[in-house]
Amino acid sequence: MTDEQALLLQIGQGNRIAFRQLYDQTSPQLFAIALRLMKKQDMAEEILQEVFLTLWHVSDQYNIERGSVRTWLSTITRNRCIDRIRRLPAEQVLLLNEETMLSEMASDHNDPLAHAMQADHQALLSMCMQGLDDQQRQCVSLAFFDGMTHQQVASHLTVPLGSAKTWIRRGLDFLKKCMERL
Amino acid sequence: MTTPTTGQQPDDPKDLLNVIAAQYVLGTLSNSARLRFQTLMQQQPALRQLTHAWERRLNPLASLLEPQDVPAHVWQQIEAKLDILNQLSGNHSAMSQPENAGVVDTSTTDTSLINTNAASAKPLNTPTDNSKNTAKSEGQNQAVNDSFWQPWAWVSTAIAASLALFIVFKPQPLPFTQPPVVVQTQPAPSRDIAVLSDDNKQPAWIVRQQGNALLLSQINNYQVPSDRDLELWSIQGNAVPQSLGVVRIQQGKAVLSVAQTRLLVDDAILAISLEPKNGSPTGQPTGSVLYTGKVV
Repeated sequence: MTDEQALLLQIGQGNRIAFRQLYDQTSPQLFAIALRLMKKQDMAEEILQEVFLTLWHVSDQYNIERGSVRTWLSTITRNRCIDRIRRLPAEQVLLLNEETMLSEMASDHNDPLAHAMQADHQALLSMCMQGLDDQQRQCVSLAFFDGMTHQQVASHLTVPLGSAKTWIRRGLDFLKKCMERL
Repeated sequence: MTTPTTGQQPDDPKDLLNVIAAQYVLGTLSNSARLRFQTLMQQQPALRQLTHAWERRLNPLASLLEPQDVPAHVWQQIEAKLDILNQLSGNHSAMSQPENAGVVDTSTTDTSLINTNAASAKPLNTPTDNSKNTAKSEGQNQAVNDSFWQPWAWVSTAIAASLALFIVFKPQPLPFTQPPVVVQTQPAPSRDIAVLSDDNKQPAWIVRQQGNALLLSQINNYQVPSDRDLELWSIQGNAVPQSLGVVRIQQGKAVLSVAQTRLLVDDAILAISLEPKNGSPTGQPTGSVLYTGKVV
């Protein structure tokens, strides 16, 4: 059992110290996810609160089928963010993107997938990433890290919608096959 | 309409479901398609497993982001909300730490326990239980099926095809499981049963019972954020909060149908929390508790 799984058990028994411990261990990563997706500090903080309040109530629902505890918490965080983004008025999403993202996205510096290719500790993961071509990688990154729909990815890259869909589809196909070998 | 793939749609509808599950996890589905997918996922274990497999594949990518410092007030607000929820559950002692609670022993536990014994490990009938969710588990105790990616013995082509078509092409969102808001058209004997106040003890809502309906009248000017809903809860003694439904305000009023009027007995506490759109996804309050009041 991992340390984080053990903490979940303690949380399930109402142990707030374990709850704080898991918060300390995981919240910076989860906050990074929320911040990247929501683009706004206050919204990201709100999401993080919701995630941990949810965790307090459903810690006993963790299942190894959901991956590691961190992956499970990442899933909860991403789902919360994406659900929220999808319900925002379109103009607000556009505003968020224009304010905080467009200039950043033009650079590979903020592309986590590009960064991963150089990170030793992510060797296995980056092995799969390296198999994606530039277009596929960029599309997957915009969708995964920035919560963009197909249409938004296409608009952002100024490419036809069908092209964006195709690149994402091929990228996912490749990742599935590659990661099954890991 | 959200078409999750390009003109190169998979011919096999089962493959199409696989593609949709991947794109749900990736996050490219529209809001309506996501809602339909989430509803179906709750009903279809096979679809849930398929989605979880994609979660395991894709979501570790999130670890590639550089961790960010979290402001201290975030934890303080989490604690404050837990305290309020705990208070509402009538169990001040719930959060008291068990002996040696500060020592988290990770060396003697068995990985398999995480799925099978987590819930039962909670002390029964302790106050702590009351503040924690007992809603049904999503796939809890399901074993990981190593042969999951083998040919889809677990779902028929016809079912897969209909599900895929439903998710992709159905124009309207599915109905939600929350108790619906209804318009009260039949006059019925009524009485005011509670006044809900905010943290500053300022009255904010008057709750009137009319037969099996609740009429809520807003006193203050609180505006619900556009991406949120209010949800009304009943808390009796040490029991876990029971949802009475999502409160959708129209011109300062909201009407809820209450199937279980036993939730409105004297001394029950009513509370309104701020939840994600269409209500708490966990069956328990997850957002801020804004207003509380006792049924009289």
